[in-house]
Amino acid sequence: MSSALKFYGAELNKRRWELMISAAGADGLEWEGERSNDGTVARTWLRSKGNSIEGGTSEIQLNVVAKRILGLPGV
Amino acid sequence: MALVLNEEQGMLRDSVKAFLSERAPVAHLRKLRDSRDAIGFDRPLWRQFADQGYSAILVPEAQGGLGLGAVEAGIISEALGRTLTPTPFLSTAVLAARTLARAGSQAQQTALLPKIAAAETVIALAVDETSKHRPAAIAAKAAREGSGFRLSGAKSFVLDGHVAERYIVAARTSELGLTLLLVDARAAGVTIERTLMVDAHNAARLRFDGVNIAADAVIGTVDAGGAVLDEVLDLGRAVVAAQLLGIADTVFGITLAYLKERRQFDRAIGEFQALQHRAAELYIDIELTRALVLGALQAVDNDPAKAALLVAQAKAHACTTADRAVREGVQMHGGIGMTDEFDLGLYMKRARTLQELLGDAGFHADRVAAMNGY
Repeated sequence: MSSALKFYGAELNKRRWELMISAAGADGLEWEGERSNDGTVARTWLRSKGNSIEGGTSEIQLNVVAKRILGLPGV
Repeated sequence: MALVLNEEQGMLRDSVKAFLSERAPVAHLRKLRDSRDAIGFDRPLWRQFADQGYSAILVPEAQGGLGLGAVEAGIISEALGRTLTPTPFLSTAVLAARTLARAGSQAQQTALLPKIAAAETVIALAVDETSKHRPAAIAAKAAREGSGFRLSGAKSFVLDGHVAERYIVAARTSELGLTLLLVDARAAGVTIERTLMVDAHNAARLRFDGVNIAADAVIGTVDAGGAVLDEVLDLGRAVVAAQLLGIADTVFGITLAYLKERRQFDRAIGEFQALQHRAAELYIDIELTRALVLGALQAVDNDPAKAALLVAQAKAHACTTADRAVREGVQMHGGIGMTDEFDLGLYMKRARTLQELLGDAGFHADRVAAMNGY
């Protein structure tokens, strides 16, 4: 089940920050300055893209679910 | 109208692509960003835009321009998306040039359009006031005073607003009426704050505290600026959509090459069907967007009755397609796609800004629904 959790958690966090940056609009695109707290929204949004790469990519997690949990055949 | 470029347009596309990849590849943007350049674009390069005629595309021939249209402006914009080159092209040569050519007085046109064509000035259009693009909710106010106006309010996400000599400000002059005003950046009561953006392109926040506006600074007719603004914004949206297409297409090219080259588990990663299908879907998305963008640009030039709908469709699709292209690009590259040394991240940042600029996919999908009676 850890593969399912890793996959879902990573994709959920990416969606969450896509929603955040969309909701923040142009303000969320500021990269420096006090108002944006030095671009916290933009920087966290970008960082979230790594979630589905680090610690086993989302593709690898899905392979594990397909083969180990669902017992599907193939290499 | 056929969804293809004519011969002259094809030549323009080839020339601007070659010009930008030689003079201002992605390394040019990196240099401006890393040196924390105060202007944020390269003035000599901008002057070369005039030598090439790129800054003169939308300026009528009578004012020293080329008198070309949205399709040609879109060709330049798409190329700018491929190299991520910051220039005042969109603010000045597209939005300001079209506003003045469409509604400016003889005196305004004579004074400013030749300078735009010659890339000797920067003029910024100031529309947005909140974090999302909502031109219907403009609250900046210009109150009658003597023969002129007093302007109060704030504008944000003003492209090139930190270096513009003049602003074209959309302000409310009555409950339902907007008026476009030409405002000198050095006028008393104007406060300018540069905003450093995620894409290392240029924007500013502006405040107007009781700025005196002379009667001859009105562009077009008092209370009737809304129609001009709508037309100019749709041109701008189509041109922005073209830039998103340039980004999507470039990122797809980089990613496709990587799928063929990168080996894992003793094979090219592009051999995995899970990735093949995603690449194939992205390709289809990009081709659809290419047709929609050209159709929208052509409608802006030749079919004003259909332009708003086609532009809204094109901008909505360009936003979602470029978003998908950069997200898939980063994911398929894996760790290397996350590094600053690799260009993909710069495309992702620029795409995000252009998605927000002049209305995101949701804004334009909503317009499409409204125009279809929903």
